[in-house]
Amino acid sequence: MAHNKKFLDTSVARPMLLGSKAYKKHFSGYFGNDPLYVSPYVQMEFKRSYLINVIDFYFVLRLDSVRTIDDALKLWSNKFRASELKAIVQLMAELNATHRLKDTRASDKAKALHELELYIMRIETKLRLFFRNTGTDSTRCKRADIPLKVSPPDFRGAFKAFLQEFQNVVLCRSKCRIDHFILKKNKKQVSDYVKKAKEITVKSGNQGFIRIAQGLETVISKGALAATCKLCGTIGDAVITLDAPPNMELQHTDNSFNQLCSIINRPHHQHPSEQKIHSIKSHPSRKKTP
Amino acid sequence: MMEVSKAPDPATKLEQNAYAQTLRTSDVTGGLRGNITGETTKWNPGNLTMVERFKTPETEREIFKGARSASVPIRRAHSETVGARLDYEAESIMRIHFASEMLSDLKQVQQHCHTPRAAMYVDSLFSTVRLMRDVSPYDPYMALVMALYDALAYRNSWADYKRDQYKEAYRILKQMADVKHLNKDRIDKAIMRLEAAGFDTTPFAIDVGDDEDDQSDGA
Repeated sequence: MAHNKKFLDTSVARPMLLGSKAYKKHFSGYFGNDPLYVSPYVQMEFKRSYLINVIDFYFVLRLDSVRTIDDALKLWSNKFRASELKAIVQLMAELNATHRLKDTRASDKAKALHELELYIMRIETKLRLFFRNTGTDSTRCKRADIPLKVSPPDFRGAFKAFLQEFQNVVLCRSKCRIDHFILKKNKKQVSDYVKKAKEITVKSGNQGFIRIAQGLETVISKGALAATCKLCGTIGDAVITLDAPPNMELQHTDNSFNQLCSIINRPHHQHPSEQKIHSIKSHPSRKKTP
Repeated sequence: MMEVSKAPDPATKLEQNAYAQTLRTSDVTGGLRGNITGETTKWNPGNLTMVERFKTPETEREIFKGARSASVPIRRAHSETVGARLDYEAESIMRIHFASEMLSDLKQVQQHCHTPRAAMYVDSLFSTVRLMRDVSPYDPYMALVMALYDALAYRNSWADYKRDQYKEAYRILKQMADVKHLNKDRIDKAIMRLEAAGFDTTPFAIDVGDDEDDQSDGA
């Protein structure tokens, strides 16, 4: 049965907005005019993995003690994790090149700040309007509900309010139903995941699935209190799979979805990684049908 | 037959001030120059429009500066160029002014699409966008203009877009410039129309690795 409606995991939705030209072309070629859906949970994952970092960097750049873009990048690279660093360095390099800004020119700091403000606003708009929203979030994730309401010129106030609310995981967790989602609503499927993970041997391609199953097992054994926002990040792929509309084909790049979907008979399609697309582009003979 | 005499250039300070006052009501670019970019309101004998003056390369401006000495407006430091929001009327006037410059260039790009001549108009378009960012940064229209700028300026993508796409961009920018009360909702929709026309308004390639995600490399 052909599933013309596509439900996107974050690993597909994210590069559709932030990927290279070649990768975006791959997706647009594959999807054509099919309607593309994301859930509020997927939008939340996008914000958590990218938008929050960009906003954090915006506030670093705003500091009075930071005179130039270069100062901000140095401070950022000394203090934060590799994944956060890489994305921001790439973004600033692209932004500077496109807008003719110089890292070391103090006068360009204000311009860079404003470009970031407009960029953040646009990314949020695209995340909201580029895909259709299923409107379904059985976990009732509170973080997914937090809007980024920007009303120029008060970008700073809007970003601050959003960041504070989004990072208040204690309050957010107190309002969500992730424990109910795992322990009651999807009890059988979650048990199947845990059981299957114990049967298979650890090898390249299933480590992600095993890590997710271990996270689920922690919630089963320790109860609702173990289901924190951090752990929810680890088991996110399972949450997305279990909450995906059954009449839509789940689109992903991560290997973990192969097991997560097949165990519960959910239609899915795995896309090649961005590196794979680039290697196919530079060596067309390596191309094979997915 | 009566001879129509040309008004002489104002020479005294009083005349110059009076001239500046006239500009404020009759000439958009001249009248607002003093308040927005931090330039003095002293009389400028040059006949360049505001956009033309700012588009003039720095060295050329220096030459003009030397020639006109004290009567040439002094620009603010770069760090102050992205300033506070203009008042509503000033913002609307500046929008009409910049939009007409940009639309004119967009029309030319459309006509010269995929020819070397397009570069000249694209360059002019980009300069106007950057100038608008410096002069009227918080105009809601700016968010739309900058979305198009990013789509076109990123790695010279402007050369890849087609005539029909430029036509659509022109239409969208014109429609929004004509809207009296622009709000974020309208701008969001206009940006999505640009996207629907094939403009990638978030072209920056960012490799995001979520530490919480399965970091597998796909098929």
